[in-house]
Amino acid sequence: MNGWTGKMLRVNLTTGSTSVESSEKYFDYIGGKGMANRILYDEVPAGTKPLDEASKVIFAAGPNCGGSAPCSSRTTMSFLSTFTKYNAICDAHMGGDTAIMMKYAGYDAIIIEGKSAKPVYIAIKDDNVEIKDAASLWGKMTMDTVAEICKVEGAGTNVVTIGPAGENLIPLANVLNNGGHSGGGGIGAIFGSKNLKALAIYGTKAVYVADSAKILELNKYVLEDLMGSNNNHVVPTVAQSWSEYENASTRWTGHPGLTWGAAEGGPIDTGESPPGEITKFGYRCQKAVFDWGDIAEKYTVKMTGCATCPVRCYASLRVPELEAKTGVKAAHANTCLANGVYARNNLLPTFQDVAEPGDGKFMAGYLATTVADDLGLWDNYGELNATLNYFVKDDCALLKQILPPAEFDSIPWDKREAGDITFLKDLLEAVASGKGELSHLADGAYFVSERYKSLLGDEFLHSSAMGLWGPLGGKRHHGNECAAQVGLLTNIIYNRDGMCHTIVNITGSGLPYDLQKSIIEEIFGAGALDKPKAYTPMNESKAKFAKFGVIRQVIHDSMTLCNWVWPMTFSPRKDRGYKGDLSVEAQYMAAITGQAWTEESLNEAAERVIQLQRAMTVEAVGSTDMRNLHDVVSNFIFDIDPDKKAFEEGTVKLDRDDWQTALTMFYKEFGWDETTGAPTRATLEKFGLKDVADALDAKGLLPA
Amino acid sequence: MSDEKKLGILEKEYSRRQFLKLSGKGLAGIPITAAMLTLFGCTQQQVEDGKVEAIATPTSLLVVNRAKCTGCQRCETNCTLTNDGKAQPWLSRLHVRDSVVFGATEVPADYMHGGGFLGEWDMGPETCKQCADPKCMSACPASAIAPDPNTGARVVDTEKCIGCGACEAACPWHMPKVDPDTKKSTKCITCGACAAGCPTGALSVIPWEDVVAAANA
Repeated sequence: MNGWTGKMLRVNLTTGSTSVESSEKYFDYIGGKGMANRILYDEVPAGTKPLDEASKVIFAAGPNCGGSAPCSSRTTMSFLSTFTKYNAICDAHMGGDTAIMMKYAGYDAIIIEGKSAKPVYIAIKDDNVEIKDAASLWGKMTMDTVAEICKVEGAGTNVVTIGPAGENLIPLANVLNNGGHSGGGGIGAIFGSKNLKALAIYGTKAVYVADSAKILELNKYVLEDLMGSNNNHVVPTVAQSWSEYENASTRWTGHPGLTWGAAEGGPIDTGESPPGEITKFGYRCQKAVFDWGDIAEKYTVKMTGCATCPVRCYASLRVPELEAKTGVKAAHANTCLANGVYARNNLLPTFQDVAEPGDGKFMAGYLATTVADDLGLWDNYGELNATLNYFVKDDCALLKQILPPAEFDSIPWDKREAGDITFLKDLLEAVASGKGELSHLADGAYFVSERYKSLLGDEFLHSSAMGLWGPLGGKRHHGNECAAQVGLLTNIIYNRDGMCHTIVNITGSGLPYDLQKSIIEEIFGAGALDKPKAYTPMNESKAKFAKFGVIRQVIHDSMTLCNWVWPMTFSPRKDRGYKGDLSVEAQYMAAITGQAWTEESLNEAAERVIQLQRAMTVEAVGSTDMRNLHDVVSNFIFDIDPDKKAFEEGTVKLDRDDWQTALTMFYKEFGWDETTGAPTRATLEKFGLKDVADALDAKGLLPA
Repeated sequence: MSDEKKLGILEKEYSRRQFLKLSGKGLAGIPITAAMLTLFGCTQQQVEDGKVEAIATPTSLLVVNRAKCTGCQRCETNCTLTNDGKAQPWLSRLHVRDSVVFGATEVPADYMHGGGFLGEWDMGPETCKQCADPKCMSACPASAIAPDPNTGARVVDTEKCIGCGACEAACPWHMPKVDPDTKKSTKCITCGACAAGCPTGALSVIPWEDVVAAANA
């Protein structure tokens, strides 16, 4: 079999049994997210709570994973959200090496079910699967756990593990592999509830492909002609001899004079990296200075990232001065918002210097990122930091009201007063401990709001300080600040933050707006892409553009590719008019599987997945009224910049009535009932989901 | 550079073709010049730290620079797609997957200060050394490994190979593997697919004439 392995592994932690089953019945859902979502639908009854024994976790990767396409090693994990309203279906997407190891071990998916009576880990070496005792690992931090398991299973083993946060059932607990590669959504708490410490995978098998020569040709095409830098930014920050444009805000930061400053044997210059030169590709994204600022250059050993990815977006730093002063590990890597999130806002009002004057904020952020990853504590795209800040603002006004005095006094406030950056370590350890009231601030914003409703009212969930897309509890992630209604529409699809990068990769590409607009309008029609902070009312082109954003994301999470880089909407090449190629995903699918995949058939399969996910969400909500019960967005989106009206230049605020129009148009694009936003029987049947429609019908959950 | 020195490299290369380790003292006795460092894409310090490995092939020098390796493992999939028509990193003719987590194939006692993703990032592929006196070749009971008349690389004659695995066992680095599908040994043929697809040039193939020119600069 080509692409897919055709097998999935089932591990039952209650009985200790393992079995291998065919995965073929899920191929209509591509793989990865699609496969995992359908398995969850088939096997976990609606109404199950995430920490119930009946709850399951499904790891899955698609047919393209393992076949070498650039950026093809992200794992999708599907399960029930621990931290958002309704505890509905939720996906986490984790980089690193887990997905390829699973494929090379021979599995398209791994289903973890039941609950062990004692701490265990699952060890997989190809066909050999064992459930092993993890008593000695329980309580260990994530990185020590990896080291201990690899001493037994082999140094090349990929270990996915929880830390203390997961063991303590913290709803914002994650799993991690290879140091800082994280999967969130609360999956860590589900692992903990099953007494499952880790999953250790080593695979020696092949991913068979129908046309290896075509795959190598596509790889060359993508790397030479289409792909830019992280988020597919196609314009460098500093003009290079070959470049027509420069744009200081992109992630193509590499340029002559900027180095990996702490590389062994002396700094390595990132240099020029023109399109067409594959062996310089990995120097385009000097992510350390993008995420941390100029101070990080001298601490940058190199850039790392996921298996198969040439972009390398993981800022891999070594900060020995920090370790000497605080004992926190000198070397760690992460990317994007996770880098330094806890040093933002006001958890620490001042920062003591560590190695040089003014470096305290950087050091505090780096320390907290490392500590959080070691604890297995998920930041939820900054939500945990926002919540903690909300409670400590105004001299801890709210915190004093929720914490018993003894617990409040146990927090080392003197360190905070002094700007001692280890305060953040103490605070995060207390949050992850599961002891006391403080830990409940990591329940997820919705559950925090419910728990302290009398104190918080409606303001907390709707505030700009929290920055949620909606009161459901998902963080806004490239929402209305990204292409107006288009970005925000991609957010409301999920039961967590949006995670959709299809649109922001376009708006952030670095190309001049007029050029972006002309390419996007050619595909989606006039008015699809507004100028930043100069928004216009909703229109059908925007609805099509938003649907494209979601569908491509599903394609990527299912086949597997990284939506943080894909699709190739634009290109860095002037001789292509900066136009990318949106047919490449289908070309990979055809080359890998030997089947006649086209852009249309791939879109259709991805839409099947979204229709299923929407139906599952309707079941979890228990009503067809998605417009008023699920797709509600936060007030701050309409109320920011009070001196400006929506659609005036200079603001990203939206208009309430226009938003309702946007929802209606979006529902129409997906064939959902335009009043409620619930999938109709006709639409579900169109995508081969008659059984899903029947099940909804039986519960009275089909729109009239 | 004198003709004598130039001849030194080539003689060592063609007559004995040994595994050349770059060191602070030079390459095969020839002092490292600034031009050679530029050509190899490394620093004198990296050479002195033993972080740069150079493997002589008949036509080129394969340079492995661990400071530039980012652990993406594209070399392994490119190798197997090119040579085996499938993606199977375990089978690859160079090995990096078993050392990307800790920088070595064993977990160091002080892993936090070791290499790889869990340490301080030192990592890099182990490649076939194209040994002057190849243990794989001498161990083969079927005489299936021999120099290719065109490239000089020691290659496996799949007609003769019996898939016994003696080559893998004999190789100090266990570089050859027996493909479980074909039951034939695989081994590096110096095709260069690994280096051509390395996104940071951590692997590079440098023609001998360029090495000699740089040594002479």
